[in-house]
Amino acid sequence: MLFNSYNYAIFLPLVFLFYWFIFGRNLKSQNVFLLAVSYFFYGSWDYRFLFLLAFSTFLDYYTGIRIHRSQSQAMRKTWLIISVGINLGFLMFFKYYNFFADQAVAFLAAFGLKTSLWSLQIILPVGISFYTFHGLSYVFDIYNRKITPTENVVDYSLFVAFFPLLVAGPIERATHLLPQMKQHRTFQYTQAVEGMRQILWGLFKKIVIADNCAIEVNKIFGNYEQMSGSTLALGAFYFAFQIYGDFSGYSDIALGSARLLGFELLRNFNYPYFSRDIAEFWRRWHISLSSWFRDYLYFPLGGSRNGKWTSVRNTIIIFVVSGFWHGANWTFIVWGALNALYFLPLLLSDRNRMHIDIVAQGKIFPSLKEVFAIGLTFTLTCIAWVFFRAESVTQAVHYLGGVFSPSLFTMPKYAGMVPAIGLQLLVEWRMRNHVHPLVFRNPFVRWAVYIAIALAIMVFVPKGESTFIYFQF
Amino acid sequence: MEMRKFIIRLSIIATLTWAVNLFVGYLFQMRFRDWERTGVFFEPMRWREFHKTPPNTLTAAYLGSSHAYRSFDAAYIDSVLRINSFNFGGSGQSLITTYHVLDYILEKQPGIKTVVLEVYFKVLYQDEQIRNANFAFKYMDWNDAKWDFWWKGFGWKEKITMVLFPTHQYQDQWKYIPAKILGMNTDGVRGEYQSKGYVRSTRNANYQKLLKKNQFKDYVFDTAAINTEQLENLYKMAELCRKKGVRFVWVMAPIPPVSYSGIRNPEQIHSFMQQKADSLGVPFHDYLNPAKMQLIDSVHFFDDNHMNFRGADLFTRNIILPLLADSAAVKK
Repeated sequence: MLFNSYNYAIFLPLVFLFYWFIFGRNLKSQNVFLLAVSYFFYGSWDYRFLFLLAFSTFLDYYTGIRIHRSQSQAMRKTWLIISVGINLGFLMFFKYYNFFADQAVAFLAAFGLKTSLWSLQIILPVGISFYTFHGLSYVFDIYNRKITPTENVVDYSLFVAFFPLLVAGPIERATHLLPQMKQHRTFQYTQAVEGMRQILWGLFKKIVIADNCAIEVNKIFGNYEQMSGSTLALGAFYFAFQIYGDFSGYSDIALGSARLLGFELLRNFNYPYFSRDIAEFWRRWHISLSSWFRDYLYFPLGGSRNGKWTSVRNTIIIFVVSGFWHGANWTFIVWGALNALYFLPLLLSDRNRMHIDIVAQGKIFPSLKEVFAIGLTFTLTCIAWVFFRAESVTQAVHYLGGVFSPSLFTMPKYAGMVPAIGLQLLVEWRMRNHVHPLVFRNPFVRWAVYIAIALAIMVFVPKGESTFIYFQF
Repeated sequence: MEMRKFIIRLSIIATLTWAVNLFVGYLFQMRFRDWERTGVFFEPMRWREFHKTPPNTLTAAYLGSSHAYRSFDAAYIDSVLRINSFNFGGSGQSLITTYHVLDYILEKQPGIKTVVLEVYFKVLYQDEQIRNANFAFKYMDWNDAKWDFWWKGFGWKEKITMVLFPTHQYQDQWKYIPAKILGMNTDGVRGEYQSKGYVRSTRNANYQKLLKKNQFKDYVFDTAAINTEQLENLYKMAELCRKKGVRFVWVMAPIPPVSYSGIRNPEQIHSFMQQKADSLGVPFHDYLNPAKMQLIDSVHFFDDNHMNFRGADLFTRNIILPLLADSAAVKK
């Protein structure tokens, strides 16, 4: 069930009505109902993976309790290893088995050894990377004594399977979401209205921007050898907005849906394309994943405490692992490595925390210096996105070779989406100090904007149903 | 209290949005009203003429997409063979729609003995109903066949769209409004409606333009991508004709030589359709290759896909007339 489908448009209001009017009286019924509809939501993709979700949930629930109850550090560590081993084992099998099998065959072939490892037809369970990371964060936090495990299996199961975040995040933390699961929710008008606004803006970004950019991106990347440099540059630009609209749109709908049910989820995007350097970009893009890697990988590896070179090593590790998290393909690894390469000069010169405020705060226009910094950061990001989108590293290199050619200075084809993207940027720039940009004081303007966005969605929704890019991760 | 306020406000916004959607949907149909005014809205003209035809008088029908209504000159065929036939082709018509058109016309005109279907291969990939089907559905009288069309010819999402959201239904018409305000002609010359459903175009295609912009350039006929629902409706048409004792014939009309040469695997189209025809016991006459009739891009065609009146005259005279000459429609 996709967030941008008729099915969800029926599912969410029904859940809302039943949740508040029938199951809203006490906490237990609220949570049991939400758990049931979350499993229904997940089962609508493929009911077979419900067993995997249930197993993964039970594993972390049980190991969490065992870690907490263990008296010795050795036993705590043993239970942690069991949990992490099984969780990552599933993830590796479903997501990376074929990749490693292919690499092993290629490696042995380089030494003249012909082998045929089993190549399996594995269907990737939707959202496995996300709910595995949910569970792991819970177990890590218990191990690190940040939280105590919950004894209530329904609360924990709902923490893992809560439908707005189940298939593509945000990757929640037990410290943030579990306390909300343990509190009886009451309906709050402001929260619900904010939720609706966020859903509307998310749908706009997904349907009007991302899905229409996707059409042009597919044309350009599909025939990149025949395209001019300017069209290829436009293709990379479009992909930057496709993936932003797709993923941040998804996150907005997720956050908005959760708000309708009385929950506050972690913010996942904070206008990343207004970043003045790559460090700022990574504080604003897929925030829940970046902070997950920071807390559970970068810090345990020593972070920046043991000198500059340890810090450099750890930075490279988290970027490459982050790339690999996205999928079993060298393109993602190169994408991660390239971002590390962008980041390192800032780290080495101690300028990686230079921009933690909002760009041009209190001003209408940015300064020339800020425009240049934003433009440079965006260009570097687009170059990295080419690797992310390409089928192979070779294709990405050829694509970029095509961009930096004399035809870069010709008129590009397929420029029809530029005004829509310009409008989106304009609105987001104006409202960049808000969680979402649909914040207008004048009620007439506000309502007119709601109606205009709803109509734009009706008019510009491409034919056929489109999925979300991050569902494959 | 807060919940009531939320639901009331949400309902007001939803109602307002819906009302504006009705208005915008009405604006989006401006193009069709303009066509109607200038006499080039073929679909209602065709259905109006059909509904005026006395019951039980038609003996042959031509079905399919725009290929059909631009290729079969029903009035000419009738004058030579002394039969009463009618062309029911519709723009971009899917085979799902064509099946329901067939069902409808056989209910209205049970005397039809021969049905010629132009099997344009691209409709096999058609995956939407609301736009193409609307041109037929909207103008049909409500009878059993139309109800059947409503229940089985559209998915539930399409039904919701057709009833509630004209803005979405006519979404691809939005460009016409700025074009009209700027006084631009976006339609070119659509042709002239003759009679009995046939549309005649006197325009000649520009060879250089066909070379430059052509929908068939590097086109690959991919059998794996065919919409199985479309194929099922092809089978249903054969079954319906068999049940009603109607002779069912498939024809594929020519496309310009430039377009044909752009297709990477035209032989696949032929073998696929021939195989389907053989399995159903339906005669299949494939003239997709324009070389079979020695047709020329800039003489017999008006765009990259359709014949003009010269091409249609040749096609009707040399292919369709002999094909119908021994049919039940004539023997009657």
